Amino acid sequence: MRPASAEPPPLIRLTGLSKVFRTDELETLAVADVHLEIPRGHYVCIAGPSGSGKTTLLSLLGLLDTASAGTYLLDGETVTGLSASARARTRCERIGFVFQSFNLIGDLTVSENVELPLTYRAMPTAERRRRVAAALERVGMSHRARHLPSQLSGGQQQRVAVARAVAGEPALLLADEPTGNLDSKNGDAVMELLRELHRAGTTIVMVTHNPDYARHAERTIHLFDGRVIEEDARARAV
Amino acid sequence: MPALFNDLRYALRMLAKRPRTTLVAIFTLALAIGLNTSIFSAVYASLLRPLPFSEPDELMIVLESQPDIERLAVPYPNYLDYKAENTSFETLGAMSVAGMTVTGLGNPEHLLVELHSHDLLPAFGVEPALGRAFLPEEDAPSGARAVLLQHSFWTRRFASDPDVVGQKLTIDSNEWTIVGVMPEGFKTLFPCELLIPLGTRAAEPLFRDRAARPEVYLIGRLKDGVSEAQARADLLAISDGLAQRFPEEHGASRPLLRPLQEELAEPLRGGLLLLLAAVTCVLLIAASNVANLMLERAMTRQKEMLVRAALGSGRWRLIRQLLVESVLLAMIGGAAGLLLALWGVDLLVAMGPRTLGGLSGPLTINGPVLLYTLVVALGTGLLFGLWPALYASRQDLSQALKESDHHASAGASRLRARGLLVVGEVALAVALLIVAVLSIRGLNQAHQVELGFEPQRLLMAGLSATPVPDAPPATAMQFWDEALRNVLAIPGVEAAGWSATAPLVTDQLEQFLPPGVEASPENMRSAITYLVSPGFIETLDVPLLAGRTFGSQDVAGTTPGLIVDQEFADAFFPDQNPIGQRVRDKLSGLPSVEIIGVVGHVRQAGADAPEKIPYQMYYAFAQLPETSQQQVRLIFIHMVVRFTGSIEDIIEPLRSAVAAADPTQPVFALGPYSDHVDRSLMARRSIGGLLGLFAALALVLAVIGLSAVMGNVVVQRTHELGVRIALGAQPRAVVGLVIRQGMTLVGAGIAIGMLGAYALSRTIATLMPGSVDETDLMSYLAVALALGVFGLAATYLPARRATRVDPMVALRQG
Repeated sequence: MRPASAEPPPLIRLTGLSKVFRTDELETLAVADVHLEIPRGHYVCIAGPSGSGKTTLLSLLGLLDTASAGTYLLDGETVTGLSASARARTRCERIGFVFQSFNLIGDLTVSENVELPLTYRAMPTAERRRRVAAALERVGMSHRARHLPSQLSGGQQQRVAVARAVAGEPALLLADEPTGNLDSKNGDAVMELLRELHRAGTTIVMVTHNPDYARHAERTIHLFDGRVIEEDARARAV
Repeated sequence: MPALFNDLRYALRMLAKRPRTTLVAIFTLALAIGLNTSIFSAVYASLLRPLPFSEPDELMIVLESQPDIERLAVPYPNYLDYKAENTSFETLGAMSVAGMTVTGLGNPEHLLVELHSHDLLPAFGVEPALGRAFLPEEDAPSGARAVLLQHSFWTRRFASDPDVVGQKLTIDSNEWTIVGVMPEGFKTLFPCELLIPLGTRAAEPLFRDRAARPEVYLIGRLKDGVSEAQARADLLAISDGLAQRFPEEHGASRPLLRPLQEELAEPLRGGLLLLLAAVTCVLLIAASNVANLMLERAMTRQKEMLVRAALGSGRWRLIRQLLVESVLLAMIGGAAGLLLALWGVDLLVAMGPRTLGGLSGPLTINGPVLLYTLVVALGTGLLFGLWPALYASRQDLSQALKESDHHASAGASRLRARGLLVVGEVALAVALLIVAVLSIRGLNQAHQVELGFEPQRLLMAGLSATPVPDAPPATAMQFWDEALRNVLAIPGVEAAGWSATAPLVTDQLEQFLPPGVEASPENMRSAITYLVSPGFIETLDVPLLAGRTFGSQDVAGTTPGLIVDQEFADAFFPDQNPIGQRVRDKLSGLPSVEIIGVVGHVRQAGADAPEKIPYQMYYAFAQLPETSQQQVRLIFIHMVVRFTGSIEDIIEPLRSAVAAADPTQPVFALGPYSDHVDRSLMARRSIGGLLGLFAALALVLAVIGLSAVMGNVVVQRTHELGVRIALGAQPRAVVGLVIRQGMTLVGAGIAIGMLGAYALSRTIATLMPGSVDETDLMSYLAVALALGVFGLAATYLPARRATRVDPMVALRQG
């Protein structure tokens, strides 16, 4: 066994993580006893049929939901049991999200959408603007900074959503079916964008149904009935 | 700060994005806030604004009370004792009022004149704008005749002549020297035009008599460090001394001390607080409507809120964002409301009681009113914004990654929230409508109340009480009688008479000892007393119930007789014939006076006000001994004339008839007697009118709110209704479903509103006795029925729309 100091802790460590949804008559085990480690800089895909618990697991990883049991260490710190405001702070500082339906705010311009998570941090305006410009540049949307989301195509909207997710330079990028609402051309472009981010060192956890896109990841975790049933690790890093 | 600025910028953008909704919200808020500002300007001016005198909190008014009557003027000798013996007041001045005739400036003019002790203006802390105040030596029976002009009189009759001081003015045939002009807007208790020293009257019998009350009011400024309670105790001790020294005259009188501002505000307090409560209801209803709009808007932005939360926004930040929008909306509404209030204040002055504003001057939108508007706007913004903000910020973040934004639970609780708002709105509207209806019905009843005399085809004219200065009343009576004879000769005049006081116009109290009780000050009772000419009772058409009225035989030198009203007779001679019974009184100059007639009771205090003094007595003025005639307070003589035909045909001949008796004498206060009936109802009528206006507005707002919510219910339930229609539901069933839901809310609102109305009207009945009958079930039921009908109409249109839901479209939406 190597001494702990010799290797940095994984970015994500889940130990026996479970999520139970309770109604009056029914208990549904959405995520069951998941043990998982994701080292920093990895690109992980979560796959599985509908209802297998992919989105719930992603919600737990993104601190959008709280676990019923188990522990979750993010970058070595326990984040299970954090208060709502502490979870909001952690999301804002360490986690970026890319949603299937983009979820841009229709009344904000492209640059304002990208700036939005940064406004929830105590960050000087000049720094915010620099990061917004950099993020838009990175996804090739600088020329559309003043447009409203409704003036963009689906692929462009998702690129803006990616820019929003990375503008805060999060340790972890979570993507939920990022190509689900896109045609194949735009889907490919977004996947290429994620690959570039990964090459630059971003840790990505992505949920997808598409086996082709799943192959972009270094590792695929298969879920069924909330349990991890299989893991594929590909030697070929992207 | 930058974050708040961002919120503000975003809020502006959101408001601009939906201009129609924003304009509706701003208009609704502007209307409600404008009404609140207008009414508050009246409340502030009439109840809260400090009197326009230096350190007004220290100013007190001193009256007296007796066991059977609360507020009485102070006998002048008592004033001198209070003034000399008290240790609590820095200055204790006195004032009275008189009617006097000014000649030498064109037409003779009868004016109200305030009589001030020389230390009264210093007590108020006011100095004349021109000239000087009265000197102590002028405030005495033998003092030089000095007069101060009110600013308005100086402007009107002297064209604002800066050299007016030192000029002479003929008042009641005597020359008075103008010593000064009061500052513009100076006003105390009476709408007078001239001020003369009170002490000039001190030698008159009326002012020397400790049992007489020639309308003298004491106004004093407390010494530093002396409390109201200490001053009260001080005056009470003096009063106890007077009771020992003058048991007969002072009797059971007790001093009554009150802050001047409180006393002046008293008549308007109840009505204004009622109006403030009414506009607060309107504001709450408007705020509920806007809250509904905001709730709806917040719900359509639920996904946005989810995304914001997912990206790291804390709940407070979300709430703040939404609150910034609602407060901004309210502030814009408040600013527009302020503009409306400028017009509203004018409307209030036009519609409201004439005494609005009291001594503090006209209603204005000043600093405190602006502050009130700001607080109301801010409070309203928080009120209608907080609930939607709390609701919309309560996020289930696990939904953030899910595609559908149809959440059954959110929809249901949203409708519950909006349903509660509608129930509240309907309840407030019902409460306000019922109170308005009760108030208006009360007013109608007051109009229909038996006055005890017939005010139609009756006119009143004022004649000077002192047509011949310094002459005994018998001389004055010659003029009144001659004028009366001349008037009776006018074609179209059916009857005429005169009196020192008249129902609903002026009053006078005299004391008597009820039969069968021991003579003691505590047992003395007061009665409204009319000193009349023969024919006065007949002219008013007061019914004669027993005995006789005064006739031509009741002249000077004959034994005085007494006519009492039915209340008097019933109270003291319940099982006996009152005619021939004797009553111990003060005016007749006899050990006791014989009752010669019983007439009906006439309303004295007002068509709607409760009669504080239940008993009435009539004397023939001519029969009274001269000492009594001199001891009664005569402000002016009320000539009443019953006529046929048109009043215009009587007015000029009446002036000529009086002029024929004495061309130097003015005729004033000439007009239909019904004006006095109307005037007695004016405050109630204005308040009732405004209340009705506010209630109608509340109803409209509540119906709009209900209709909007029910329209949204249909939209919310489109999928469900589509399923029902697809399953074969008939249009009637769908209409019934929606109407049932709407009418459940309306029914709950009506029930709560009726309870609220009962509580509110009970409070009003306490504040303004006799103004409403809180147990008038018909009013409650009528309003409930009306609200039910309006509610049905407001729910029917959305219900009809529901039947047009296309099941295929609805199911696809689901």
